[in-house]
Amino acid sequence: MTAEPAAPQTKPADTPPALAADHLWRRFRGVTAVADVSLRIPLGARFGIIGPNGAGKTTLFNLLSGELRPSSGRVALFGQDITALRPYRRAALGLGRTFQITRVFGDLTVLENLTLALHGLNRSKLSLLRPWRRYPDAMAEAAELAASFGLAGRLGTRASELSHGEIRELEVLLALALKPRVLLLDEPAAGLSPAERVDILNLLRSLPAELTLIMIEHDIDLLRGAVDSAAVLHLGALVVEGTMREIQQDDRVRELYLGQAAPDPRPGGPGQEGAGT
Amino acid sequence: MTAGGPPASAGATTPARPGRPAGRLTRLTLVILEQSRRLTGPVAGVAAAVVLVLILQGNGFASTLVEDALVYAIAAMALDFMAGYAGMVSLAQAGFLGVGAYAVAIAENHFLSPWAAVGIALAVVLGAGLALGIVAVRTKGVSFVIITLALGQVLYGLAFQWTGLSEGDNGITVASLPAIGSFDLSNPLTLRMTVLAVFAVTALLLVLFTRSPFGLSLRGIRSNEQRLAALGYRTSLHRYLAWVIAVFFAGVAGILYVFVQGLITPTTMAFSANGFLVVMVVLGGLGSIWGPAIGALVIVLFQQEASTYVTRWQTLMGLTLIAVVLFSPGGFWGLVRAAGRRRDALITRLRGGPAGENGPATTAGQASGAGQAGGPLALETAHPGTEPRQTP
Repeated sequence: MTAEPAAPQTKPADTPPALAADHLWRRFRGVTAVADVSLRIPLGARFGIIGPNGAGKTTLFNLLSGELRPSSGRVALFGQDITALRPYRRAALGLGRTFQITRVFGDLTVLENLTLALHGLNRSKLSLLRPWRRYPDAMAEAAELAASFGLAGRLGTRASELSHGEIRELEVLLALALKPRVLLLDEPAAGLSPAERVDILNLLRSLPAELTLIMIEHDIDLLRGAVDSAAVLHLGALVVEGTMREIQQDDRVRELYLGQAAPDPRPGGPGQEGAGT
Repeated sequence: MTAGGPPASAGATTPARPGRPAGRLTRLTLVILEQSRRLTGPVAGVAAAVVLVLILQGNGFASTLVEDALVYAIAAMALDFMAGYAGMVSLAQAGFLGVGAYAVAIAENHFLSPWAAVGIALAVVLGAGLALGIVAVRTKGVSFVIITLALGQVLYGLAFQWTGLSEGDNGITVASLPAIGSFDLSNPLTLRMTVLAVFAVTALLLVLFTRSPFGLSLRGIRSNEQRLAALGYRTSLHRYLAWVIAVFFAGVAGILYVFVQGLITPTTMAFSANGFLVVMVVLGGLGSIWGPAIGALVIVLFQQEASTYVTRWQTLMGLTLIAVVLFSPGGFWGLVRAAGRRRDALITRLRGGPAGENGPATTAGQASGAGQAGGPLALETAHPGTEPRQTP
């Protein structure tokens, strides 16, 4: 398989990768959405996941973040097996994510959205008697987060009334508020104007170096500015993994993106029960 | 303000001349309006308390009516805490009111002191809530409504058929009420004032809960539970706690109910009783705590007053419910909120521009969001916790 030897920077053996997928499979009633994907994302990497529609990118993300359980295979965060953990447990261990179909709390204001995120990993989320507005640290942090992304004037606005671009920004801020060590971004720039894409790109570049970033993105140009290495997914399986330069020069990737039929990359292992396209 | 963002509110779009000093009259109006933002709540609260105390001093019909309404209001507000905030509409709330009532009555009839009976009843309700919550909280939305309906019917069935314990259809009477020295609940006035005090404490506690990070998390659950889980929340635990809190206060209401009525029968836990509690919440306004208290008063008024003149008082109540849902989807409290929004819009206009992020601009635009809230009943348009209130 292409995955193992292609890991971009080989870290010393005693440092576990920030996030590792080990022979992940996910089948939906005979349709194989993710087929034997193995990945080792080193600490601090900026990693992209590319692939045509239906390649299984979001399913792979859902397996990594715990929204879905794999049919087989394992997921490890900093060497710890998290395969059996539910999303909230993974979030507590430092795994943050955003969603492709943007999910913010539409009924709540921007400030309330951010406050929810800031209490997410604190025991204070179960506090009953102290109003959430009386947590000065959280309030200051929410204002700071909002300001970092041009939402400072929008703290009191309900999230459902934000523009599409602002909602995308809020979505990323919600994930960042947890101070994740590994952040999964599912098409953070989808549907954004060119100017807003630049905003997102700048924000992503300003993130701390020790944060491991994994993003799904269709736009290769945007990806080139944001990540160093990437993996290409096709029909649920890894086709290529390598630096962006390698990816762009790979013949198979060109075929995929030019719409020509690529050979089915899935291995003929056990459990591949003749899934269709 | 950030460059590039559109104005935050509808009020901000009205032509304004920010640079020019406002006239004296405008400034005076503005001061009055801004003070009213701060003072309306407390003043209305004190006024309501005074009126309630005055009514409860009497021995007449109004006094009994208000007393009954306050008991139901406790259960209705608690139901609102889980239905209006976490989106969990329960059809078992009257069932747990009955559990509290039966528990205290049965304990007393087994020759326990009234105070011990109260303690036992609270423990029984809490235990029932903790146990049945494990089942109920496994479901969401419509399934939750159905499973609580089933639980409510099970509780009703127990009261109806476990005759050895509940005396079946005859119900159980309570002979003596708790007393310490001159504080004696068998004195009707003392009992009425106690009901009022418990109501006030419950209301203030629930309002406090809704403003806490926990209360915010419940609104997050109603808005988007999966997203909240990705933010590190164990959402099933939060729904479970909301359930236990709601059930507990239903039990508190039940204890007061049997003290006030002197009798508890299975009818109190019937399906229609569970339905009436939901109607109180919807009529008063989901997600407002205070609204359901008004809803309880209206429903009890219908039950006791209208039924003496109109045989089909339930038809009348149904028509009222339809009218409220059509014309004020946020219930009675929705009207209060709408008035607050109009005032805030006026403040924004008088100030001559969009306010800061904490200002009235926050709430002014909310009317446009009406109708897209996704609560299980889809009647909800009020936005809990977003009343105009500035950070102190």
